Amino acid sequence: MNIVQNLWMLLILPLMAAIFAFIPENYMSYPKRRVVLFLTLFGAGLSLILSIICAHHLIVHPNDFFESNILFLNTGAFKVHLGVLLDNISAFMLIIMYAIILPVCMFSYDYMKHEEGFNRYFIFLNLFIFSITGLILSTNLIQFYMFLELTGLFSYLFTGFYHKNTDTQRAARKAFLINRIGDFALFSAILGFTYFAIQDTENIIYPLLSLNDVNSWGFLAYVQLGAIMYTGICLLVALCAFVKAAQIPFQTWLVEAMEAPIPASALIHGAAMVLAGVYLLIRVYPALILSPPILQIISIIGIITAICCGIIAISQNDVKKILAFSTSSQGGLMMTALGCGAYSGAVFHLGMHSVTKAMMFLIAGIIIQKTLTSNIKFLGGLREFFPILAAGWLLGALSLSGFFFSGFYSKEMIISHLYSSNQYVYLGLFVIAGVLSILYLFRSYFLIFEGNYKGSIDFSKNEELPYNGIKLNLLAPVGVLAFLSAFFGGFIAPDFQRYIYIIRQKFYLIRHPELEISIFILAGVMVYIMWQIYGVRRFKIKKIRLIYRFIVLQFYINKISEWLYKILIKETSKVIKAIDKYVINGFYSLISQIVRFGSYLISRNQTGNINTYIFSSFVFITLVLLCAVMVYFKGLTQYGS
Amino acid sequence: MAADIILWFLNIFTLCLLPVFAGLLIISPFFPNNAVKIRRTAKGFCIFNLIYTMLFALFLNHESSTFAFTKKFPFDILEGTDATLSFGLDSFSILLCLLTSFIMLMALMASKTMVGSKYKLYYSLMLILQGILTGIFTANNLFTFLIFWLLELVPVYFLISIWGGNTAKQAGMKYVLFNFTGTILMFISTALIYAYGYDANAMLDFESLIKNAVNFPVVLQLVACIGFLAAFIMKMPVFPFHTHIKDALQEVPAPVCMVLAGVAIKTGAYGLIRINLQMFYEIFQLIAPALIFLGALGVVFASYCAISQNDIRKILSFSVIAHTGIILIGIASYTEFGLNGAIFYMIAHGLTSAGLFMGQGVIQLKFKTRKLELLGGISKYVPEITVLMLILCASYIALPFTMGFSGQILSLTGGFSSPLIEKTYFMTNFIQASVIFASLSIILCAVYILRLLHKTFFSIAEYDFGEIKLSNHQIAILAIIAFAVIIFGIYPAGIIDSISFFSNINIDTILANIF
Repeated sequence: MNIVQNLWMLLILPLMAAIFAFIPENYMSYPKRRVVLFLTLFGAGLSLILSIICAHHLIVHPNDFFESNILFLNTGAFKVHLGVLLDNISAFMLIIMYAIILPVCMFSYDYMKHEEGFNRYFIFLNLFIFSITGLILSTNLIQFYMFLELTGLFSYLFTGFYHKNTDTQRAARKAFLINRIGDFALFSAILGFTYFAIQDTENIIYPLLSLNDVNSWGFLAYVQLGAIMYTGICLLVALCAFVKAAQIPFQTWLVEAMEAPIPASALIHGAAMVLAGVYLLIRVYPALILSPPILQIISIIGIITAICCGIIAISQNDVKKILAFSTSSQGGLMMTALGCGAYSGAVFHLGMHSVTKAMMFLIAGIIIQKTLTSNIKFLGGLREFFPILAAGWLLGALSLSGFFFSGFYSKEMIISHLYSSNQYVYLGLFVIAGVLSILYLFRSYFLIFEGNYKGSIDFSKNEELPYNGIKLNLLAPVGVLAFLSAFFGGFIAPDFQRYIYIIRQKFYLIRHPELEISIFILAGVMVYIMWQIYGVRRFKIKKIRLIYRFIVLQFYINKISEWLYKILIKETSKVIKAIDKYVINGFYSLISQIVRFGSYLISRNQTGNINTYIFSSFVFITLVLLCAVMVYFKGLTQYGS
Repeated sequence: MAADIILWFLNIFTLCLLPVFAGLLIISPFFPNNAVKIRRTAKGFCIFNLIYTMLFALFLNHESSTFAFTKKFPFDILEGTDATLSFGLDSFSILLCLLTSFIMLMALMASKTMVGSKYKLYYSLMLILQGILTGIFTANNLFTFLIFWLLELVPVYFLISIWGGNTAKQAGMKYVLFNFTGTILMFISTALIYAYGYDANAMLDFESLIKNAVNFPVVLQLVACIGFLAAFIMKMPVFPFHTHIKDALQEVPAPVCMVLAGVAIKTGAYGLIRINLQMFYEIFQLIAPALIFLGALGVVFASYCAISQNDIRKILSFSVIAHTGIILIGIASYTEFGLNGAIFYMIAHGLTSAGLFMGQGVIQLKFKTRKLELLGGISKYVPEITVLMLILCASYIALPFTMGFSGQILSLTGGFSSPLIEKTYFMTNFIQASVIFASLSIILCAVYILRLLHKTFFSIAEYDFGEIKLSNHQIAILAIIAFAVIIFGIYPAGIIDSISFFSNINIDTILANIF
């Protein structure tokens, strides 16, 4: 089918837009910024259409897939292929990704129009689109690793986008280095898997570590390694996913990365990076099932993150940080779902969460732009001035907490799976995490949009303007994403489990009305409580300082990781530098000193005194003669005998 | 017909001796002592040599296991020994010849503003050094190799000690002494091999050695292997013997740094592949696991040393030592892709480190300092340099679609799947543990490179540097190197295809004989 050739266009279009954005502005006679935007949108739109066509084909023929490979490195047994692989999962991910990319590009144009680094921003954005597309379409784990590293690079570049103060740069460095830990883990896992995949030189399957055929190489490693070592190697893959999806204890990088421009944050940190982490696990899932302990570890880390980050998010006052911790927490829920076997639920929740979170990031961007603060203590009562934003945020909160809309379908899918497969402990913890998400989301809603405005900016003069002075170009992308997060989930949910299938995946299509209703009631009660606390301020929360501090400081995980960085990198480096200077260099200096001392001893003989010379030569000649005589006589005695 | 004429024109003596001749021409008293004329002549010869080397590369059959363009030149001084100067090329050596000509051209272009005195001596020494390096890479018997190996110390010593900084004399002496220690052992090994057969033509010729060295007595193989190894790990430099290169790189001006880090130390890796791996592989496989361990140790040790330095040049010179460890792992892995990766990484590292030293030189020239704490926020003064340095740094920390990535992943995967695993000592998974240890460079290299980028380019500018104007040639050099790094990062097959036959045939022979 011709579609495979067209798939390469998905990778080429953003690259072309990026190259175009490289051309300096003064070489162009017409307004270049619009052209850059047009090219970006053109690429993203074409890609969206293409992926929808492919997805439509895949719905009709569920077992089909498109694959095309080119050889990147051709060296003996170890061949690295680059390619595009479009099957049901990657098509779904691609649609979700481009459904976010298109509005974000629109939003970025108006948001960044008057900024200095517009060109730089769009170069990075297009290269990021390139790398996330390559990541989603990866045919093998090595290609996945390559594009994962690229996404990390652009996350770094975006985080350090404003080099106005040192903090952003520090944050960018920290985020990149924590990401590198994940890269290191995945690289080690690739080394291991490759070793077993190319052991049997006659029957090597190319492309190596194919993501379309995970079973074969996973099983090969499993047979040769044994269960325990195999769990170890899978743990490395899971570690990479934990880092990328900002799970505890690596959640700090995502919060630090919030220094990036907001539209970029919406795309990268709200959607793409978590997607990259969870998508890795989704892809290598058939290899992971071989080792049950690894699934347990994934669920445990996931549920711990979901609950802990949920608690932390309640204590935060910065709107961006609330969203960041919420992202970690929702990522944890996906991990739990994956570990418990709710595969399709995890995929579905990943998609729905990405769309909703991107929308909330964009709304936060507008709020920050209008009120010039991101601290929710200085906000409040914004519903009066920006009712559209309030509606959007409420929709996002309802959807993300699994109340209505798309999020309801995804969480319901996971919960009913947990219920049917009798995993009641995880079910309970999952519900607790869900309740926490209601708490932090509605706390933020009530604090931002209800009550009285506490800031100093006068919005009343905007009232004649349409939408209270928010440009339509900024509102339209939010509207598109809001529409998607409201209805897209319900639209595709009925057929979703049939669409996403996997070997050994048990199907749980049974609905549990009693479960749905009880959770509905619980959620309603929680929202009412939040309304009482933050909305009408009937109760006042009493903070226990010690615990509050403990929570605000992210359970000291941040402090511990900084301390570890100091010990493992900085102090060790000083010690090793000293070893290099004093031990290794000192050893060579010692040798040179010894030689110098020897030369000093010998040069002391050169006194210039004739008597000494005559004496020493006399001694020397006598010794030589003595030796000669001895050798001569010894020789004689030998011949004589 | 045209091809025949060009082939007649391609003489390997010219390739090695023309730069030496040009150097002697420039130093001769007849040549006018005019900076511009000297520079143009030197650059002209260098460009000619680059094109000439490219012609060689074009007409070389990459799928042949024998040396091409071989030429012999009787060396009458040593009467009765049949010693000849013998040259030849194969697909591996032509690659390094190309690297030499290319980086030397870049270095000579960069010298315009970075070298302030004694032009005549400087340019002639650089050209002579180019000839000698080409001689090392094209030598076709041990005798020639040894002669050029010894000669290489002379121009490098003068380049370090005349144009260096305060402790340049010491650094130059250190460089010579370290390398001389190794060279003496290499000399002994060569002499022993010669004494074993008493026939210089047959005994010292590379091709016959590659075939026959396996049949030598084991003791001779052992002594020869260790002797050559000593010379090469001093030059490379492998971890505990690295102090001389570190000191040398800190003293010299940036163009000399480019040549030293980019090409001169690659002669060590070249010799390791050409002699230890191709000839004495049976003994070398016993040492190889230890070398992988040393390489891994060197990667981590030098990376840690680089992290806490406060001088751009020092960070870069430690990073050179760190990346040498990865080359060493690739060479000692005994796999086809490991060897490919090592060779590819030699080229990648040669280009990248040359570019980074160039960028450092430009910064030092324009901002009058190379201390990290005195710089900061210079990206707004030199945005072009920032972008190009970012690309080179991406290659250094092995980000995909740059040259560093392909080389690193191939070398490390090679080391990890080394067939020597069954024959290791100390512990069962010794090699694999070492390679994982070396992969820590993914994190550690990022730490010091990001620190460098942050402290020089991105943090807040504390000082006002005023108007900074860059010359075109400085940007051009960096742009050319960065372009090459990106192009061969996206299309690594361009290099790997030309050497895959070389490594395939060698590794096949080796594995067939060992196992």
